[in-house]
Amino acid sequence: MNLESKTIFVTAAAQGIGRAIAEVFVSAGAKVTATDVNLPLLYRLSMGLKLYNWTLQINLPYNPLSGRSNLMFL
Amino acid sequence: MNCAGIVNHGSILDASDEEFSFAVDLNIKSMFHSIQAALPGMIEQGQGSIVNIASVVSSILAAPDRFIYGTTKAAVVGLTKSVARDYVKYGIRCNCICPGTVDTPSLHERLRNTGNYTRALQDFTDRQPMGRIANAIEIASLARYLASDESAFTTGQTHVIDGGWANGA
Repeated sequence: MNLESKTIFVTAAAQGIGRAIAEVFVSAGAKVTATDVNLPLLYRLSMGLKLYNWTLQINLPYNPLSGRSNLMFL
Repeated sequence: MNCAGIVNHGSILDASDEEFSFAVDLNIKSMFHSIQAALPGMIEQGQGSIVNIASVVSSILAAPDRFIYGTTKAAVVGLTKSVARDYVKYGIRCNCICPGTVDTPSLHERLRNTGNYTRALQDFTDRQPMGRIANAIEIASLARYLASDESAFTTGQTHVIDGGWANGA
């Protein structure tokens, strides 16, 4: 399944289902933008995937602690 | 790909207002906000595929002590169907995935929190008719299908991937 023309945005991408989804899409050739509240883990994931087309997005789509949305697309 | 979520333990009498509100924010509102942010761009392009991670513990079945979780994940099913209905004419699809128990760091944390990791893992495994829990890659493969053009005729659906749990043991 080729997803080379696709741009994917994944929330909670640092571990678990979100991480597996990020990895699967990166290996399918998609341009993946990922977010997570756990920035150190997300950073580590981005290093592991650096050979692929990867964009690190560190803004949270929604922060339940502050109660506001601060999503920004690259 | 809306994957953010939290699992709360307990029945309705165990649930605090704070826990409930936090789960509503994380399990439902996070999807509301990310979809609201992404939709205008998808409408402009005339295409897009939104995939929300719900759960088989939602409008599909109930698990013991999953009051807040089941309530909020059922809302994800409703949210998914509403978005799919309203934007089907714009070339935008919206589906949700309803996994059974998946092998993730979040699961292992919950297992540790029970105080008896081995027993808890056995309980989770036993309720899966296949006798095992899911690998996260199995969920990701379905997400990939739903994002790709191979699923172009599919929208507004709950995609159960639970090792036969909802089908009965």
